[in-house]
Amino acid sequence: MSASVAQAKLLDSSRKFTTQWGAARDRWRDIASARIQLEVMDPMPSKLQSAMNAMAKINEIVQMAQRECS
Amino acid sequence: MSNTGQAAVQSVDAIATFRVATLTFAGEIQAALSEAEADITRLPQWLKLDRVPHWTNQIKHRERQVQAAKRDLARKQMMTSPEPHSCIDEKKALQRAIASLEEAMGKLAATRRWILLWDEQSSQLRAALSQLRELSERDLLVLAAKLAKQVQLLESYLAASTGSGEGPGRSGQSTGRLREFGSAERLSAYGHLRKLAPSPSVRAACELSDETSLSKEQGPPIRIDDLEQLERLALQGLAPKSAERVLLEPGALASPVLCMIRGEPTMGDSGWYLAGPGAAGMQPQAAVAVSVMTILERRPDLTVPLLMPAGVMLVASGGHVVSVAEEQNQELWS
Repeated sequence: MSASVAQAKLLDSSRKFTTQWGAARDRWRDIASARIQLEVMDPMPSKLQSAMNAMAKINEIVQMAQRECS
Repeated sequence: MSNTGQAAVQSVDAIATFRVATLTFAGEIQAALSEAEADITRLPQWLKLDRVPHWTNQIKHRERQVQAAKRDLARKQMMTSPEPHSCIDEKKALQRAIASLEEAMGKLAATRRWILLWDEQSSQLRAALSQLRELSERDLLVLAAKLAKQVQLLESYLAASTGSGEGPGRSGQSTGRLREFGSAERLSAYGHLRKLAPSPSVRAACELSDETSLSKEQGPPIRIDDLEQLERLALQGLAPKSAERVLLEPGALASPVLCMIRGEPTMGDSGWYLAGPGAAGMQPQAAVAVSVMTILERRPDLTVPLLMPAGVMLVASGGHVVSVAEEQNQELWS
């Protein structure tokens, strides 16, 4: 089902985005970039993890329900 | 060029690249969330509309099979002459039919249990996903707008340091356009816009196009000072979602004069209508619909204006906001 696909895609996208941010910060180090790190990038992993946990749970429930109700 | 200047050039490039990555990531998050949310919606539909009727019918069917097996067994047991018959096969068939019926009853009970369980779980799961939705639909778009501002600032610095005089806020043309666009014309244009902005039925009928329907040219971005002043007005409406539609005159984003008007947002529609200076002579049918994301990819400076509430109209000329009016055409811009 699609929640597992979504979880994998999200993990891949977030890794790419973090790498791109790292590349940007290598060439851009000032107060503005530090603020982005603090306000956006630092809180992001917990939001992503929470959503990916939810997607894993959706996938688990869907599979169990399919098994028990088919 | 000085070391500081070289650093700024490098930064502009890095920030511009990262802005594109930010918008791409926002889109990818939204696609992933849509897939996960489709499962949340699909499972109860499957349980309620497919499994419950299926197992209910199966129970009826298997009850009939049990009754038939019971009749076969009773018939065999009555056949005593010339000597009692063996009923082993009939008893086994009855046991199989009963087991089959019990299985169907168990499946129906499990289906009903999952429906209840899912009702409880789905709201928690949606809540867990909502934080990420907020990140993609608000935080990352705000970040992209901030990055665009940062690029503008650095470009302005670079332009000033090289003495080109082409940085934002230096255009004499803009001041001229401000004079052209006096108070009376402004109110007149607002009046026309309010009348000519596509009706909800036209909006709904307008199919979503991709960016190829828009002019490739870019109009002047709204100045940072004006965007900051706009933020200070605190005209915060329902933030449009990136996939929601915006109707616009195809050349509006390329026009030096940009008129924006927001109607009531509806499901999938931000309510925004964007037009160039020829709006008064334009037929609403000429409008095209594109997503908020498409607009922001072309014009990140419109992030702040797009947050304004329904009823508000804005006119920008040469990158300067020249007028912002609320629903009753009361001027809010000074």
